[in-house]
Amino acid sequence: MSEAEVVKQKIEQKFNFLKDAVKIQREKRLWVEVNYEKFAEVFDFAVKQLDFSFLSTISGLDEGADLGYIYHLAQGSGMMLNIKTKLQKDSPIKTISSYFPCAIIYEKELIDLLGAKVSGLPEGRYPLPDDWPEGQYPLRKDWNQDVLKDGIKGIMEGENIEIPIGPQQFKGPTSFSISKREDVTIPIGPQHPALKEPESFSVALRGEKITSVKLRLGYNHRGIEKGCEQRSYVQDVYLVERICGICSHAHSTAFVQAVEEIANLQVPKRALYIRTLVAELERVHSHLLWLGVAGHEIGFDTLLMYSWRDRESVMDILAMLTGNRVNYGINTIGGVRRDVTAEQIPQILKVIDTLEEQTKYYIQLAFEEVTLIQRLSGVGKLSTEDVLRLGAVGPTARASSVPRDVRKDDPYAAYADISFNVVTDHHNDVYGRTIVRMGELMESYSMIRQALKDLPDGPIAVRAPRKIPAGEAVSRYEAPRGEDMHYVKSNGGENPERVKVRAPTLANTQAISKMLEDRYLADLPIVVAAIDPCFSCTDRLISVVDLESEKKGIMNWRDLRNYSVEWYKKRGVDFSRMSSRGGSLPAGRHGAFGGKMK
Amino acid sequence: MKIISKIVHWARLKSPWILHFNTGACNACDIEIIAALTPRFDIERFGVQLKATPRHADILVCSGPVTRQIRDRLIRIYEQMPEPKFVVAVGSCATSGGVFQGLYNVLGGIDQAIPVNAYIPGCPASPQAIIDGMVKLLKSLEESE
Amino acid sequence: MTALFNIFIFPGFLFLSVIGLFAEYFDRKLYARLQNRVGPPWFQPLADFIKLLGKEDVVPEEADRRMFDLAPVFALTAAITAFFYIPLWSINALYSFNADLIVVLYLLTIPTLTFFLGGWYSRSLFSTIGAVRSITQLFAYEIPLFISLLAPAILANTWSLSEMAAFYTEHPFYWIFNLIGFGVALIALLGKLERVPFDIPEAETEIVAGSFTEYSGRLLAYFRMAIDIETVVGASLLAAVFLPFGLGLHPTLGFILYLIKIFFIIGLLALFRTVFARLRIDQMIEFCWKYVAPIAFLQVLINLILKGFILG
Repeated sequence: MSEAEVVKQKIEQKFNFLKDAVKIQREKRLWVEVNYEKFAEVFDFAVKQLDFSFLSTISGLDEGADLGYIYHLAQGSGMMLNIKTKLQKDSPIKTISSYFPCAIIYEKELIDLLGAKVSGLPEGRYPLPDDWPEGQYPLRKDWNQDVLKDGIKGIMEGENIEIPIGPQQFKGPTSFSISKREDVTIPIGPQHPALKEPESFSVALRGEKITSVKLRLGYNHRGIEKGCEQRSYVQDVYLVERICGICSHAHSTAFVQAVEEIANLQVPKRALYIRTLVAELERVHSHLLWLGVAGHEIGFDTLLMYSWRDRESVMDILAMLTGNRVNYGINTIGGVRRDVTAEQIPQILKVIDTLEEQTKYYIQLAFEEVTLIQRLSGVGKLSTEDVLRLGAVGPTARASSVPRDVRKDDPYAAYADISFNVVTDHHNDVYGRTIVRMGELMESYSMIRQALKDLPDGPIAVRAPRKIPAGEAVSRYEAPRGEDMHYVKSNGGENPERVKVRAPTLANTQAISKMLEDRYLADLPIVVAAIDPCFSCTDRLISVVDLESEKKGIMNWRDLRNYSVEWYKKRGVDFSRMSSRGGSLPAGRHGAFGGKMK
Repeated sequence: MKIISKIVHWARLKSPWILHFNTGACNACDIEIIAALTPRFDIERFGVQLKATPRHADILVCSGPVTRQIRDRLIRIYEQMPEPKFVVAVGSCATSGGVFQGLYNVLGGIDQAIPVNAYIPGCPASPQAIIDGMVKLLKSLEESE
Repeated sequence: MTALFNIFIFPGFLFLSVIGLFAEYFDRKLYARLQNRVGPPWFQPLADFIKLLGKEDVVPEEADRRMFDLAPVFALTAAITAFFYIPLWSINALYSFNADLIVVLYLLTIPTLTFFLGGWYSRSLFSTIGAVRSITQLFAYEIPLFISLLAPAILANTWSLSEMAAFYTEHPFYWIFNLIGFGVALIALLGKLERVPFDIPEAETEIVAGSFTEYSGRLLAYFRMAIDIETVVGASLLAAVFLPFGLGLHPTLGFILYLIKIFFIIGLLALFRTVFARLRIDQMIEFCWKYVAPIAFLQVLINLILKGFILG
């Protein structure tokens, strides 16, 4: 009996109202629909007895009179159980955050976008802006966005916008318990006379140590899921790709995989290999980018310059293969759009060889440079239990000895045929996450070589129908940041019925508060950077409350980063003077095709 | 005095300090903007420096479409820049909303909120295109006096 | 009349400004080259300065207007005034009196104080923090700098810079005894100029948040010019105290020698910013008190011994 059948049997034996109800869509995909009265027991059984210890996300659907909820659970081995239930619109539904704290944000999304009535959640909304009109639920089928045409104008259309610049006072959040007063006036800094503006991070300090961090996400909420429903599948491939510019291939691949599963398309092997090739190249460029950003966050700008210079050679290959440095557009439903030619292969291999040498230097740096180790160790600690409880994914989880990697657990594309190791580390902190990413770089180089060596012949795509037959599928992909999950439901038309995307960063942000517990404010930039977040880096605002002195302030990310660098400089960790001369970093290297770097 | 204004004008063209602001983009253009500063492209040859505050900037370089929640902030930042100031919209999204046109939380390109002086298309705009766009903007300012 | 010329044109304000701007270019270009980049063209600092002058002034409403406006002016004035007491290419400085060395050292501290004042009176929360921090770091470098500069004065038996220059010209090669002090002073000067929250070589893409966040336009231009001038004055001071040779030469030769000396020092400062990569500075303040200050004291001791026992 296969693994899936074992699980099916267990569920059906335990609950006789579920006899024959569990469907095995394919290996590692189980589906079951449950009435809401029985939902709690089935859920409890699955999580507690069957060890479905990971919640990917909760997808909400508008099904006419009802709202449908799909809870996507997974075991460590990659087996997924998707539990569906539905309730009448406006009926209350209980939160499952007692099982999974990470469910809080997924349920908030259901409240905001679908109008689900989930009770028992802490305050704060996600992902819609604070001034969103009441009672408007964008993902409902009957919602018309003309409701929003409330005459928002820019400053050129003659409207005099009163933007007060100068000292402002407003009532701050009272969510931190300040015993003496109810509302606290905040002196606002000159650059951000913020009135309607949510800070991204609200930090409460006691003295110098952080007691809690609250994140306000949704800054980049654009309304893509709704947009997917309004466009055809082919258009959606390009829309979904631009959810994030760094893991664009991740989203595009995850999406087409789901659609291909629904339509039962047999994607040619060559296409799968090409997808894997681009995927690993994307991982390389993403990790090198991360290395630079991390260096920048701790004040080690030379590392930024070096890693981004090396990264340029990867961008060159990607541009050569796909036609663009970013947002490759290589996927199509049924395969890929461009082929790899014989001439391109040796060029790619040459660059990979050079990069491997460079990466060895970075690894050496990570193991030997005392200042780096000092700066990154012990920071952002997350124990193994915390990872499992908070649902962290990707290198963040793997640095705490959790060997969670979708490429191994639930192989997609060509990963079943390529041998590689899942890199884990036991340090549980930012240093561990650095080690994991370096290790993954080396693994990626090996995978790229294998993919190129074993590239099978054949076509690169099969024809996909315009109308995708009705059905649904869940697709998982190991993006550089962790598990990226797409759920697609088709109703037989040209446009999808529902597309739900859960990007890896959302899963990892739940762990930030825990990571920063009892650490210093100066650690915030690198800890956040260490999960490799996929939200914009330039405009995050942080509000800081000192619970002892009851002083409040607002700073922006740059200020916080500089504060952090200075703070650590005082304690002896200073990268600002490191550079190429005499450093342990290699001197100028060659560009992608042998051209000397200027 | 004509000669003084000529000198000041020259100085403005040779020392354009930029403030980079992301208004809800997918980050691809942001990465390319930062890449334009790295040694391979080295936009600092043109006197361009990345500044941290609108107080010190001459050119506001925006990427991304304008989302509902970012709009006010964008306008505020624009207002805080001392004159003379210019705005550059980098990427298709900043130009017109790009692939996100029509989504419910997206208002459109940067020019839906503030006046734009130069548009650099691309998805994302490559560093070469960004440098080219900046140089063209500076040239056009040179000729306008 | 000559005095006015001296103070405002040469070797005063105008001359200092020109050399200051060139020093900034020299530093930035060298730094860029070391990073494998092309770097800015020669007129870049001048263009930056003029552009800033032409920018609209934006002042935060809550700032103390008077102090906010005056801080940069104080910085400039103090730096320029210090210059007049330093012997440049002849034994006598423009003006001199007994103990002018001490006065020069205090004048050179004023710019740092104005950075503090500017940040403080900007009245913005994080400008204040940056301002206070810059003052705190003052204590790391001032003592070694002072001590290392006093050592050659002890040997020359005078507190006047011009008289020191005369002494060392009378006893050629005595300046070699002071080389340890020279090393210390270089490090201390590196700290003094770098400690400024405003990093001159603009290869750094960010300004450290702090005193200058609120400044724009004219006032920012003055602050930046003050820093450039401080670099030149600091280098000239070091040249006068530690490299006091060739001061009796023909004026033109002496002028060229002076330029070579100060650009040598400025070049060393730029190089040090990169060489320091390998030395891991444990704690800035701790480093200075543990190593730099003691070495400065050592130099003083050496000079005392020399003076007392050997040179009589």
